[in-house]
Amino acid sequence: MEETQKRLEPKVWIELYADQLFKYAMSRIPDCETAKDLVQETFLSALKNIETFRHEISEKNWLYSILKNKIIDYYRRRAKQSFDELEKLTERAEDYFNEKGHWQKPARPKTWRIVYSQANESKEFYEILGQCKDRLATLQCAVFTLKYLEEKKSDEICKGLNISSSNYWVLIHRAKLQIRQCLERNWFLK
Amino acid sequence: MRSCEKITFLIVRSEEIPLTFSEKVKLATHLCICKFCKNFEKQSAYIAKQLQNISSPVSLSAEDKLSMTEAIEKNS
Repeated sequence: MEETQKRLEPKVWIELYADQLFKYAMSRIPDCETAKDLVQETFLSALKNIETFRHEISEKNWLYSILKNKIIDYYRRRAKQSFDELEKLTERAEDYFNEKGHWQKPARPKTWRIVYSQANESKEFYEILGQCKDRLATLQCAVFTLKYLEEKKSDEICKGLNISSSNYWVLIHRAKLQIRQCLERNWFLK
Repeated sequence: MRSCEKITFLIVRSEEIPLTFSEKVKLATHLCICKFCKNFEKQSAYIAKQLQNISSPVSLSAEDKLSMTEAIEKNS
């Protein structure tokens, strides 16, 4: 029985998975060194826990699940240090809305001449979108990544990052406004 | 006219959580008269969808991989 079981091959992991894991981490964490570290830590903790590997999932999916947890941990640690961000964010609403809550003229969403249902855009588009996302402040980037890239639900994110539900929605709302404007200025109306 | 700030907040929230009946009415009536929020609604959903396709243009260098291999070998 033992012999027929597929063995894990730590030495070929790098060759097979390092690039894709790194790309995955980089699209979620706006810092190249951190992304590298997380990928390396993923391999190391996989090695350390090799006996817990269940053969129901593939080696690749197993590594991804370890990396995903590392990304969430990373954001959890960062979130703890970034609570003063919330205050600044509430102040910054005036970048988008006047005192009556109407759009400030430069912030008004213009018409984008695109088909909104289109599934895939060009490679250059995703680079710009990624750059716009990377400009978000830490806590915003954390909630945004967990929500839209990791597809976590809001209650799970609030619990993980230890923020209230109302703060969560303020963060998401502001992040959306900021990304929308960044994309409009750097891509659609460029 | 309701505040665009509140309406955009409802739009973002509605992408995950169903709105109450009265919130839906507020949203629908506002969107009939405000083209900016109407644009925001379409663009917000579009951005949410496209975010899942982000990919990074940066790659690992050969040295990065080498140092990872060394770290693995040291620990195996």
